Amino acid sequence: MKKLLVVDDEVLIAAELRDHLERMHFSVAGTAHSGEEAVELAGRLRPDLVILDIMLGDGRMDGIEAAEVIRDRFDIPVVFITAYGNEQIIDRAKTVDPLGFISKPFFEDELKACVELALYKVDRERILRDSEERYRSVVVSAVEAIIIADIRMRIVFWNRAAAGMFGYTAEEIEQRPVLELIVEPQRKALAVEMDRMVLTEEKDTSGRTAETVGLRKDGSEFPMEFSLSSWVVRDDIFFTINARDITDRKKIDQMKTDFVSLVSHQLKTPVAGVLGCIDNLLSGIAGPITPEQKEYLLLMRDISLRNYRNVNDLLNVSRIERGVVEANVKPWNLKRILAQVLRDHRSSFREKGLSLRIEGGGRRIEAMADRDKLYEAFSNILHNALKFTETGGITVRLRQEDGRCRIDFQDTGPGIPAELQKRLFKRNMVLHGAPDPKRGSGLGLFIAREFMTLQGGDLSATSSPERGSCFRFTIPLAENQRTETTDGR
Amino acid sequence: MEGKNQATILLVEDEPVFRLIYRGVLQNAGYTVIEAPDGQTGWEMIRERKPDLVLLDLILPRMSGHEVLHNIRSDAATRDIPVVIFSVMGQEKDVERSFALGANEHRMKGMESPVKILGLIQEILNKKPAA
Repeated sequence: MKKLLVVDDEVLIAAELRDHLERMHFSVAGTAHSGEEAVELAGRLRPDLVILDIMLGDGRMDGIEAAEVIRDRFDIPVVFITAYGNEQIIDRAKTVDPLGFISKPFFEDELKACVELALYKVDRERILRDSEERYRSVVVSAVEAIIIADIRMRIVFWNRAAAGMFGYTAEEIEQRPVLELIVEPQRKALAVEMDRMVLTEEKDTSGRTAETVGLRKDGSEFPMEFSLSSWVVRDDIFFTINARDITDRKKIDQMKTDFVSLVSHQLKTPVAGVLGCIDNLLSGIAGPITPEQKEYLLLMRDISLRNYRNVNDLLNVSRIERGVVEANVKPWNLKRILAQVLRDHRSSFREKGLSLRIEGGGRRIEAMADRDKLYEAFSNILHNALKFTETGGITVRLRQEDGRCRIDFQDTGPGIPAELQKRLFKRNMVLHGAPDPKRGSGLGLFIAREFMTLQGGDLSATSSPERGSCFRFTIPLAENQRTETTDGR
Repeated sequence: MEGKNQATILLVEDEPVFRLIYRGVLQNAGYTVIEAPDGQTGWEMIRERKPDLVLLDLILPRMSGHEVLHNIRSDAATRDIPVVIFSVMGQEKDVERSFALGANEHRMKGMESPVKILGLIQEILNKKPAA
């Protein structure tokens, strides 16, 4: 229940007021008879509202002065009681933001209505103030820099994190153009974006962050990530910018990249060395070798090649997962890439006695592709097909339709078990079932699919025990080939 | 045939095993092979000996392969020497950088057999107008 403090220099009136209020079921915590006493009791009893006579005969402090002290010191609002309708006094009284006036002599109804309304206002104000305080503390103490700018793009608010990030105090930065916080070449883009938000009445780009280069007071620069939103208060438009210094993240990204490069180098070098030695021995430059020795050497070469391939796969997966792989798409002669892949697997065809057929190989096909990634994707699929196919062979079918080229790799292998087909292109494929040395790292298919998607292509598979497996690639054709729709035969 | 292969090839490579491998293949084909274990020594030997071709690794002590390549192409006396980069670094950006700096070829160690690299070297040297 809310508590009241009643202040009137006339003891009888004070008692009467108290009586009235208690009869109306308000709780009166105390009565005071002078300004000084009112301040003292307000401090001690902490009422929710003080009902106070403007004219306090005793003491040096009148009601308005007392109300001011009570408001400033204890944050307690007042309702004035006054017998005089004197405008000058009323004007002065208004300066302390009273929640109401009661004129003397008062009617009970009027008193009740006035006190109830005042207490209601106390409640409302407290809720508003709490909520504002809550948001203010969130904003002020946020780790992110929060900057508010007006329609002229001048800074009107600046939190602690922003001060730390840019080196200006709130006083120094207020009313300065917000664009001064980023480096010159980036300013136009931000200004355009802010204008666009106003014109399109787009409220926020939250979820969408952009990167730019921040500029500190001391002239130093730093990589910065930010999001922008706009809001309207009574026809005035404001912008909120949330900014984050991403120097550390950039540094970590760089470290990861460096680490992968280092590991790549350290793991591949010895394998490449062993491969080179084996190749030289096989070519006979270190003296003649017996057929039996040759068999051992071929086996060693296979193992080393597999090892090299596995390291490559792991590095590719690591790059894909960190999102640092980019496709460099250009028009390429698709058949030349395909021919290269087939040539590089020639020995596997020969060793297993498998046939190779190419259908639809007629004319030149220009595709929009990333040469290395397309090579890698083809190579991974062909490698797989050759691994699992023991008799028969592989047919490569080319076909152009709807501005894309379709490349099928059809084998005569045992097909892929149904339960495996669903997760064929998943990264964790290898984690399912018993490890099969024949299966390799199990990452080849995942990489092939990722690389195809990255360059605007696709990769899918169909398979049955009777007909073997078919891996279907699609890749966009170059502009000059889009209009022609032929099967390329 | 014998006389044709009298060209001198400089091998800039810090890994002894690769020096052994390529020395073997190239000497077997009749080339004279000289070797440098780091980029700085390699660059000095290029200026002094003017080899007919440089087989250049990328990750090298004291001076990187790309720096050596840049030096070769910036100096009028060495500008026309063919350079084949061979490295385990085969990322697109590495290859692009090699060609941007003026490499004749960029090949990946391990992916291609030394005999294949030899074929490539022969091709480049045969194309070169006789001195």
